[in-house]
Amino acid sequence: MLKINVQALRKITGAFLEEGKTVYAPRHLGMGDFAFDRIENPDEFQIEGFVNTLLPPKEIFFRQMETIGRFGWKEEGLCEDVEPEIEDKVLLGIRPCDLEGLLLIDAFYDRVDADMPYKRRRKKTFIIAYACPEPADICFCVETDSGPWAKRGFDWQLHGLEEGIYLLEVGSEKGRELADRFADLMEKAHDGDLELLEAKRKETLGKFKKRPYIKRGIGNIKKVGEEVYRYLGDRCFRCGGCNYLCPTCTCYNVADIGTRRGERVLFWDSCQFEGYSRLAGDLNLRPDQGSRLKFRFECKLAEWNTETYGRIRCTGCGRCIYTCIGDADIDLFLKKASETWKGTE
Amino acid sequence: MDVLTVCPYCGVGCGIYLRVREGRVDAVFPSLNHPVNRGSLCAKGWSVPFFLNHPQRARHPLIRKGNRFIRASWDEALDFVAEKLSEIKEKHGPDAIGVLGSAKCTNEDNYLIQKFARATIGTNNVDHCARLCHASTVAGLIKAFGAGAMTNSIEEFPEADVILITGSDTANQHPVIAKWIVRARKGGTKVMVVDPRRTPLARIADLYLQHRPGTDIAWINAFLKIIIEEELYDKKFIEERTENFEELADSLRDFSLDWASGVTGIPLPLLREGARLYAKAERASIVYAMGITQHVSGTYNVVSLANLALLTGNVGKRGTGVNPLRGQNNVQGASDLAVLPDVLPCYQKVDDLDVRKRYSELWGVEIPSNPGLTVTEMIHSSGEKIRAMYIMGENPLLSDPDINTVKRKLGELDLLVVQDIFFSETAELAHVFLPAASFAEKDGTFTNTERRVQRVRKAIEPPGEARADWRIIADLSNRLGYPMNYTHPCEILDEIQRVCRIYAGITCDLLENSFGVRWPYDGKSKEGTSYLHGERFKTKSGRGIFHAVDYLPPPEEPDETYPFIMTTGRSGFQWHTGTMTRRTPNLEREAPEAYVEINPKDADSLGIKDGDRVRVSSRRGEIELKARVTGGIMPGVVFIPFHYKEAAANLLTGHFLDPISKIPELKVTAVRVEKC
Repeated sequence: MLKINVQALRKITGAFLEEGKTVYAPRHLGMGDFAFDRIENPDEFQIEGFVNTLLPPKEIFFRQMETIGRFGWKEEGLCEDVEPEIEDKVLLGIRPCDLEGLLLIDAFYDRVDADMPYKRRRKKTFIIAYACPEPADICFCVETDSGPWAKRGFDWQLHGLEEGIYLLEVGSEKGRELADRFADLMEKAHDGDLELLEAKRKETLGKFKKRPYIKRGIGNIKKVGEEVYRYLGDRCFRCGGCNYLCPTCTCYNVADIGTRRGERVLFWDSCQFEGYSRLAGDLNLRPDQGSRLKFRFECKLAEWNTETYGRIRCTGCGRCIYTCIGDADIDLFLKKASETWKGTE
Repeated sequence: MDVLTVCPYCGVGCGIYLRVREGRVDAVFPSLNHPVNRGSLCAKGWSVPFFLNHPQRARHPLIRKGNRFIRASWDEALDFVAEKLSEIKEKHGPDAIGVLGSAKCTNEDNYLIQKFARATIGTNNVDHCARLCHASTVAGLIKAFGAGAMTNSIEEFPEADVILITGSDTANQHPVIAKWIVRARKGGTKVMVVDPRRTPLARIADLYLQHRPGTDIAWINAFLKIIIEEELYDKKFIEERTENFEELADSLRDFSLDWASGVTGIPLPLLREGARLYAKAERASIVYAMGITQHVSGTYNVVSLANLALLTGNVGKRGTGVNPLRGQNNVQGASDLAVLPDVLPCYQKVDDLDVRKRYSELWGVEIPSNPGLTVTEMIHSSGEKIRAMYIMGENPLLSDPDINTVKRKLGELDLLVVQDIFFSETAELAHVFLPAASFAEKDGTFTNTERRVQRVRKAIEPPGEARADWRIIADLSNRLGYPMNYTHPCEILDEIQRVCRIYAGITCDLLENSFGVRWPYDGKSKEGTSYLHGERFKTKSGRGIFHAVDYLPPPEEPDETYPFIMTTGRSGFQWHTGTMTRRTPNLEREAPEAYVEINPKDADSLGIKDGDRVRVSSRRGEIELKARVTGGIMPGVVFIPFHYKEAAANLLTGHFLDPISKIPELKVTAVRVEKC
């Protein structure tokens, strides 16, 4: 482990920016709101002092909406692709839950041989993760094996010791090379630092709300009765927020905007919409909200899907819980799913 | 770059960030800490970028030449409008000109447009779509409480012991307020819904009463009678803070509960249960919307709800009140700033000499003394009294009742100017079309349903040559000889807070690092006033006023030819006339076509199956659309959303107005349903 302070981190960020890399990092938008976005100078980022950004950083790679083509009819005769910009990127301060999310989306796209904007953008990304010192009330990454510190997928990971001082963990060959390059801005961690880190980690784990029903609920998912889905279906008002804010959701739709001239747009879709699963002739294989919720929970948690990925597709970030405008979130679902739990811990 | 602004759809006023990349908005996300939405948005809010970037956004001014629209420069278009307006004013007088403001535009746009009507043109013929939604709220709540706004705040819902929701499909129309109600219920608040449709909130309510559309006064009077009979009313509150209680009690002495049960369709035991649930609560809050207001008895429906709150002492403290959910993002602001024919800013009566004197001094011109015409009156006297109309950001050709007549009347005008972000159905009839900037392309403020004045920020440039509404109006006014020299909307807000008492102290500086301030602002508390009428009511006497209200039947009762009651409303995925949402692919996919909800019993007897094409006709027109057979609607009643021009529900509705507020009866129309 190495040790680094925030001033050194800003210097390194400055060097990244100078050599033309695009840096994405959390920024304070005011009044306690934070967003993960492109920064133009090294003073702009703030990686601690808040739990997480509202939008997961997946939005940098998989845009909420983006133009993939333009067309013009008749006299204009226009028909062209719009290519995503390819930048040499640094992702600074990504939380472990969101990093695991990116890895899951990577795995999703590894299965398909398609030239997607996500895949292109995801190349050449240097990841500096930030291990969370403090969970929010709705965080449950400890139950989903995706936090509060990352175990894979990062080039560097920062562990806070005190405000502005971090231990830097190298996670890849690329990370090693860059750590060597900036060696004069870091120092080697002492035994005392490592002990402090251990103590800090223990303290962090102790702050998580105990949620034994999460693992039980997941284990019980095949046996969840229709009445549970009906109950939750009555309480889902179809905003799509759970999908939009999910760091692992990959579904998109493509539509042409405009008639005589316009754009082909790729945008986030939500499996909670009735139209998502509607077929020709108004046939719908998931005709009610309960069946749509069942699909979403199973897509995240059930074996038929998770065995492909080697883990469940929920990283415990909790965003779908607080954004839910009804009362149909994953926490409530797992509570209900665990009620008939008959297995062993 | 992420720009904090306010969602342009409903009156909840969610704080949103627009993410700008290369001069375009390509993402939207909710504020996590905004006191209203706290990290949530509804499906519409999540889809805002689509309409902003739409290739059909209006880019250039257009002038009609024969049957075609020819692109014009701003100078040509504004000169043309100015010349025509002057001509008409000279020939027919200022009252031959009508102006419509817009609840979708900012406070600054709206303040200017009513000033334009009154000071530049010299007429009080200025109104907006509040006429079609909460005109009756303003009239009714002013009668009872002296102020026509939501009495309490969104954040207080969890503090209520009981929430009574009536005539509001909150989960679809104000989804983020539904979130507060659902969370309140989780915390122990009891939820009661009274509605002809079994709405999503009705499905999870503790008590649901299904009543026939248009019988609101009957069930509310039944509640009042039961509460008085069982002595569940708040004697201390009535004595100390109200007047006219005896008149109310007298009027109910001979009121028959059996009759009320019969006419509303609510069984008597349920009426009793509902009345007790509401009256016994320590804190009870009433939430309502169009189901109460859009009736010929709209004003008295509102007054009746106010009676209920006064009788039980449920006004003037946290977690209580009479809470109209305002429809449009800025309908509260447009009303506050007097885009209404009978008042000057802050609801000051235009027929009051002192008021007029004050404004004449402030604006430097004589203010016309006679109240002007309402939206519906202006349109129906088009081609006669009204020779020219200037319409900013409204689409009456779909939103107003009896649209065959609307189309004919607007076609008879000497001059129709339409100013909008898209070339709307109404624009097709215009002589001049002016392209406007959307909410994301201008600065200003919106006032949400709980009176929260919030900053709207410019994130991107308008498309083509489109311009902010306030700027267009100012340019036109300058041409007409009444100078409006503003360089930024903050200067207009500054004028507003000087002339309008309830906005006093609310400036751009105050709103800069803030999620908004609820009027009236006392200069101290960070978020302004949470609830109204705490110490005294805003009436002359300072007391809440009871009114005896008699049941008034709807203007069209079902008969043999037209045996069904049609009630209109909205889907959660389309917005009004669809100018924005029908251009948004995921929303359009979710609600792509018009439908009529019909009870299985009725469907059976007419041989209609779910998904069949049916014809619905009234005395004024007919439409064809798809049947949606659902137990959520009571027998004898059908429901049609009014968004779709292919099957416009407002072809069927009639021109029946509430005599006080002039709101049209949009909730009860007698219709016939047949299989195609």
